[in-house]
Amino acid sequence: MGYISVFGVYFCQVLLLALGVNSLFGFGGLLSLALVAWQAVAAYTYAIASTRLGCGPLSAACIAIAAAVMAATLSALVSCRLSDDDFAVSTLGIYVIVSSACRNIAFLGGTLGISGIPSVGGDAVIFIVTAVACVIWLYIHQTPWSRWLIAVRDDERRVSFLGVSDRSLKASAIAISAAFAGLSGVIVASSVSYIDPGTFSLAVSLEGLAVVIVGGLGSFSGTVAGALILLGVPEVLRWINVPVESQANIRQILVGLVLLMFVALRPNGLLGRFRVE
Amino acid sequence: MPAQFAVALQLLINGVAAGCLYAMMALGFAIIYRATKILLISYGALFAIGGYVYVVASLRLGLGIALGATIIASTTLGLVLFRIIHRPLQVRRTSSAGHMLAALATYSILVNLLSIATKSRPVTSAARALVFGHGIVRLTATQGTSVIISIVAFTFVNRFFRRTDLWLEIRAVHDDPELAGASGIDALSISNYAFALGCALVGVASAIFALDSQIDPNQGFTVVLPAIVAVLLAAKRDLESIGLLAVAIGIVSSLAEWLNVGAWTSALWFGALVAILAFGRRS
Repeated sequence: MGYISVFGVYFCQVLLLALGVNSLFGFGGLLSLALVAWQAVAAYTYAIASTRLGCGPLSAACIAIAAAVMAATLSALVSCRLSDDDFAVSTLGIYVIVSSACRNIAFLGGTLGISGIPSVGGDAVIFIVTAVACVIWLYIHQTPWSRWLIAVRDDERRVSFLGVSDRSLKASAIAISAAFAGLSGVIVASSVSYIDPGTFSLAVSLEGLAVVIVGGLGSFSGTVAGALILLGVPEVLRWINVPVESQANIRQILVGLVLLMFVALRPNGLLGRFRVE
Repeated sequence: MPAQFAVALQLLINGVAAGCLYAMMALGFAIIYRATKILLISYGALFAIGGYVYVVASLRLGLGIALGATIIASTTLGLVLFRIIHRPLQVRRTSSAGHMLAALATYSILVNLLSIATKSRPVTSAARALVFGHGIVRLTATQGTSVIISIVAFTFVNRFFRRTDLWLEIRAVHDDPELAGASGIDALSISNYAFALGCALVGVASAIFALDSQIDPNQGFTVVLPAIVAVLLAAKRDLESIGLLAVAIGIVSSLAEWLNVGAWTSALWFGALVAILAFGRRS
């Protein structure tokens, strides 16, 4: 695979995860650290379905996304009762639980992970699927549902006074964001053909959040711009004299610094509709 | 002594020692959280940095002076983080989500800087491994030190709070900062004190941990998790409850090793926390 192609696939992974973050945090105001957990659920399901259950890549991908959505919906039964700090902590808890399961269940490969995962169908398929997902995301966020979600973000008590269940809105937002994170997880598993628990660390969550905050909450073009910036800037490290063993660390430091600067100095992001309040 | 009983006793001793460490982390975390409403995830990075400072200092200065140096380093770093990152966000009335994002970003920056500086090599102070007891049940010198220092630190903080009314002021700022301000309580000073005290405690905890355990840059996250669980489970109860909960978490986690579910303890605690947050907080 050429450099541009590899970068493109990685861009698709990050963009889809960030769109999930944007649905939940950008529109719903719900800070979630569990999206990487849904990414892991989908990636592991895809890996097992395609390598051990004999499913084809397409059916394995559909099963994987459905698994991520179901797991997220189940978790929503608990977490949609919460808001603010408690919601964020509950999603951290969900991440810890899923991460422990990936490490400790032998069927999932434990710390050794799962290798030999087949590709979902080449880079062109990944680009087309990502483009379709982007269109779906844009459509979803032009519906009245999206406006209700913004209302939940602004004042969830007032939404329930109007006779609309804020919990249902939160649960549906969690499920939709999990679908995008799940698709991202399928692309991760299919493009690198090997996954282990370390593939789905909190750093991945942080990167998704950083993309959305740099681009701006509630904005599609902002998310695309944020993903390009956050993936593009660390690529410069390849051309300057940075030791290879430190490149991953420096990349994460850059992501952290950019996130910190935008939260502190430009909470609207580059093209955001809402600000980090 | 029957072998089963001896194993249980040993695990209990290990659990109490680990619980005391968690209690100090939880105490520091709770003081900061109550004063500022900030879930300071970067606390884990302070723990790891404190551990490395202690190991480096103990090789040159001796264990006692190294403890002092670690406390000073942790406190200074914590105050710098507060003044540079969280205070400006407080002034802009940033929500708790914004603070949590900033804390996560800070955690990532500090841990990766530490990884580069140390080349991710785990270290330990390699203090002389004194062991008391005989047969299967043993108490290491560092376990004893951990328990004693934790009790001393807990007692000191409690007395300090009772004599100075600082805890009352922290609670007032937590409940209603504007009303507290109108009553003449300076919220900025309270936040400064809370960060200083909370970060000094993480310095103590990291030094005790580094006495006989290997510390690596990512260690802080696993240690800060039980502290977060203890603080949130205790809800608005007093500091003694937080300490007891943290010790209970240490004991149950240690006993979980006996039942071969030790690798699941973080997941179990967080499962319990999520369930209690969602369904049973008021009880």
